[in-house]
Amino acid sequence: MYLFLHILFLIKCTFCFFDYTLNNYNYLMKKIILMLMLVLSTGLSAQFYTISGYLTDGKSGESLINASVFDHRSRKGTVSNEYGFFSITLPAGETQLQFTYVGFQTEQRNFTLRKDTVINIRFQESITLQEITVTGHQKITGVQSTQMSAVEVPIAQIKTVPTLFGEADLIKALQLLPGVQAGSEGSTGMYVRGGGPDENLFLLDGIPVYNINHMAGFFSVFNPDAVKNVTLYKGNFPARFGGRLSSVIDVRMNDGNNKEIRGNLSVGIISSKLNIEGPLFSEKTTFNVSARRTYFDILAQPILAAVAKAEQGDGYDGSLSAGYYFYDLNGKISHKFSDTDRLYLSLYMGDDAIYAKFRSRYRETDQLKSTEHGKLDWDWGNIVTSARWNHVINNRLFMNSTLAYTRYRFNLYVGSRSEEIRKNPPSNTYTDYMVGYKSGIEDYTAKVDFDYAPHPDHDVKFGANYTYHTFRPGVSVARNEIKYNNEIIKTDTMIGDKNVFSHETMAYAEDNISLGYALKLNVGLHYSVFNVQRETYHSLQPRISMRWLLNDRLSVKAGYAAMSQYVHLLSNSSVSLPTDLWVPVTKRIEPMRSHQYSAGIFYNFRDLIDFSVEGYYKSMHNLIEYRDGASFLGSTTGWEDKVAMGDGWAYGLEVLAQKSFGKTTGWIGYTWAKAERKFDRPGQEINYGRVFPAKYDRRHDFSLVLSHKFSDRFDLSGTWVISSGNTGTLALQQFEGTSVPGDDYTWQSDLNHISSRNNYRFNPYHRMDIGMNFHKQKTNGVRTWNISIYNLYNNNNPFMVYPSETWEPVPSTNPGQYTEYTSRKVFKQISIFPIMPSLTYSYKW
Amino acid sequence: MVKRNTMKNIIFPLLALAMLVLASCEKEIEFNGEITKPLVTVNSYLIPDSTVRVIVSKSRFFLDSKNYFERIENATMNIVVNDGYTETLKLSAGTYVGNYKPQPGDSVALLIKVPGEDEVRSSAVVPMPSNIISIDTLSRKEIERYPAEMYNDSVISWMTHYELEMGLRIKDPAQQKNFYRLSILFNEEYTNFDFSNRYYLYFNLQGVTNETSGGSLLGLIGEENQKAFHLFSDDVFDGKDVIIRFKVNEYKMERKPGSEDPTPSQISYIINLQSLNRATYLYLKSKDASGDVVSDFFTEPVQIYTNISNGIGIFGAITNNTKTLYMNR
Repeated sequence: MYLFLHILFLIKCTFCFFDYTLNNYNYLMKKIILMLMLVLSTGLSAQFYTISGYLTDGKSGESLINASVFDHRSRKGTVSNEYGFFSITLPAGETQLQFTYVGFQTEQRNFTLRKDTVINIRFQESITLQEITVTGHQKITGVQSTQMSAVEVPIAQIKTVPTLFGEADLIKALQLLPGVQAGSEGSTGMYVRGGGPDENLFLLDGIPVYNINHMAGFFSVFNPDAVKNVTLYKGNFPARFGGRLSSVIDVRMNDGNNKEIRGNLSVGIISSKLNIEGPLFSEKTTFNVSARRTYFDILAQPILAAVAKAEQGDGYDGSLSAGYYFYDLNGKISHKFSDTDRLYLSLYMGDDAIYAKFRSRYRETDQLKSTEHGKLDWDWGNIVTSARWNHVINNRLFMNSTLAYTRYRFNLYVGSRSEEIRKNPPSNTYTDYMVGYKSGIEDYTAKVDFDYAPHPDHDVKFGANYTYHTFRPGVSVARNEIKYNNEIIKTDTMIGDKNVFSHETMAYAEDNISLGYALKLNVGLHYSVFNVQRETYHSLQPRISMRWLLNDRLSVKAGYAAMSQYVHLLSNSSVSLPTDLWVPVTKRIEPMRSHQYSAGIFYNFRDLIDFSVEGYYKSMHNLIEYRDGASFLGSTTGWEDKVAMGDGWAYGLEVLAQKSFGKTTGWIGYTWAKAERKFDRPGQEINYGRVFPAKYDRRHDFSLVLSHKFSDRFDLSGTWVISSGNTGTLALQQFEGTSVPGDDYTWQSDLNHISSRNNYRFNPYHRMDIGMNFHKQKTNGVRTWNISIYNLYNNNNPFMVYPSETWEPVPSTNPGQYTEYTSRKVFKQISIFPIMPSLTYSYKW
Repeated sequence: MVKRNTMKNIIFPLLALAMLVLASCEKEIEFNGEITKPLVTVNSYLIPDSTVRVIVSKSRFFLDSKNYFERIENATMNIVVNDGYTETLKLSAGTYVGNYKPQPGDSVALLIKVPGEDEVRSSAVVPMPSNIISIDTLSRKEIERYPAEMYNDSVISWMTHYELEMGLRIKDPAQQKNFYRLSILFNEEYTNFDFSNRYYLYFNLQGVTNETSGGSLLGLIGEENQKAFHLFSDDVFDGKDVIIRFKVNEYKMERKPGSEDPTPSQISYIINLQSLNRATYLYLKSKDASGDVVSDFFTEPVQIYTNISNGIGIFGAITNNTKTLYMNR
């Protein structure tokens, strides 16, 4: 009877789910999900009970993501989800539950399981000077899990990685992991397993962020002070993720301390940051606000004023102000209505801005005066905002519903007025000039996700998502007004493409299935539909991975994932620019698709160090590259004609040894990888249709990241990276070109012969960075001085190479004779970021 | 009077700011890539009724400090016309020359043997001339009139800027791929002084209209920016009777009576619509694109097309067709 009622209840839940989320959805998918749930539910028996609850930081109340829950008796385990909720169904009887999380003391609960039970754990911080021993440790990326090709890096570890200008940066830390190539020196571009920079899905609390770059990619938009957890998926993607080919970076923000008001202020060379968190009115409501701003513009004003002042005189005077800055603002409010209902409101805003204003007056004679003033406003940035509601339907079924808005936009305005005033004869002529350019992308999203733990051997996730995209491809406006001799000439021009609207819908289901002690499978299906300009694309993407446990510390894993991507980033391949533009697929430009196979061996050494050796092969189709001579500076009109579609493939071997807790933490990573492209479709050939290396194809990549805490007062961290050089395209031969016979003028010129795209490899790249933290306990908090040195031994790493010419004097034996010079062709390299020390002061209370 | 450039006033301080941040280092380094050997370079175009002329030289490594290209003067060079007539070209003043004069429709194969190199081969078919039906001025619009020359604060001559829209009517051969190159020579004749002034006009193409279906716009061809030579194919108007529209700028100077400077006795526009074979079209297009991006960091590099086997360069074919439009002054 109990079983029958249970089945009926599940069926009701299933239809409730369909009613308010999947009403207009694919009938076939409904059938599959319903059957899956019925199959699972028939396996239930009254002998199993569910233990559920929330895992939090006992000191701050912050929910803990991917905290491990393990039952020693049944050898079953799970991890907490993105909201700290866990649910595990176990056989009735004696239960020995162990709860673990990096940096916290292990919690044990031994009891007899006789009914569904709720256990909420408040973890206590570990004693920092001692190693933590953890048994049965389970991470989502560990030996026990089916997940491979993924890395979790604790945020505390990310903050210790020394970086450029002392600005801790999530993306810069992830670039040090195997399988991830950074783009050009200093940039936040990520090239994951041979994929391009637009093939990475950056999620902030589950919502995509389109442009993650500040300052042309030297910094990312993620403020580590606001972040709780970050997980990088390079392959073997769980079915809940979709929309990009190469990676998912899942970033979760802090909820806020629910016990007391806490804060952290840091002042660095280029920016300052402030983070405040705490309860609002009561423990049930918390807030967390983080802000960061640079001050290049403030520091530059005296220099600019001096420049303007130096030019004054001789009848000229003027003023000049200009600057560049960026800021980030993260805010979150969390409210707990009850043990089963919680609401989260999140906001991220960030902008880069370049501005300039000048005014000049020049009096040439008493009869003539001229003035000129101009203005430049150039800004770009993101807004990401969401409202999420968690509801524990029952102790086996957890639901999260989200409404979100995300927007990236780019604006440029340049205007000037020049005026000339004559006294005799009286006349006034002027020229007004204005150019404006706008572009961007905007999404409205509704989604629902479920976590369901029906049985000890099953851990199910399913859900659906709808997004309404608005692509603003770029509109240029130019206005010109000229007044001359009482005649006014006006021109007004607008060029650009209209906005494009699209609908993207997806649904997924995945099950983590235990088949005995050794074998565990994760089987999932992701289905997506993209509708744009009367064109509909859909994709069924199977995801499967398996783990074979050889013993508690050693496993072998393998997996396959199919992915589709419906948006492209139009971007120069060398550097990230604010003019980079997201465009949707069209009738001519089809969705990108990939198939990735991976396999590896995973070993855990004494619960301290995780080792992995993993190989992968990825094939990619319908990639786009820019045709020879294509450029996207300014105009994206007719962009489809500037790109070619083709294929790519990448394969490699990654080795990682990672230690995430204790006095000494860090990782060593090595990658051997190869990535190639081929564009041979008729009319879209690049490199004559022959195979060529991908832009950031690097054969070898090694990184060492270490951090050691000597005491509560001092810790030291360092990184060392060495990798093969990036590829570039060089014309290795020059040849004679002549004019067309019959043309009215003749010419001869030196033409460049490029034998193949990306035919040259830069010099190897290597760099060492160190960071030192000096802490001192104060009355109400801790103050820290951080000294970081980027590029410690001042290696000149290649940023750009180019041929040039130098002139050298020819030695002369005849004194008094004029010096002759001879030219010599040379090869030059530009490096940026030499040794760069930085100093940061921070105070945490 | 000194004009302050708006963008310069803005950009320069911003660049200075950027330099403060991006402290960069430039230095000479040793080239660590493959030092490739020079390639045989061929430059030749088949022009109807002109003798075949071929220039053969060697390319040079990009770091080679020589500022010239070594001409190859010991090659054995043969042409085969329509798989029949064969001729060995002879070296004359650095150029290999033959007696044969190609005609539209001829298929010519070129074989070059250079001691120590693989045999260099190429081939080209001489295209038929373009079928120009007519050339007309469609409209003439005055844009502005302004003082051209001043003397003692008095205006002694005025310049009027006109915009002429012209239409070149052609019939494109059907069911074959055709490639074109359009240029306009502006010609001023001063018969009293036995002198003519000619120069290529820079113009942009407006579009192509279909004359057999009421003048409907078929589309744009070539590139929108102003150029002296426009390259385009018949993708948009294959087999159709069309008018290619373009605008040129005309400047007419009016001098005060008594001025000693001459005015031209005859103004004309010489329009040349060349037919190209595919290789010539691709070569010229890629060569132009390569020149545009040489020092541009933000643009993809361009590989210049070649139809030379075991070498580089071009063995092309061009057929001219000119029409002159005389203007009344």
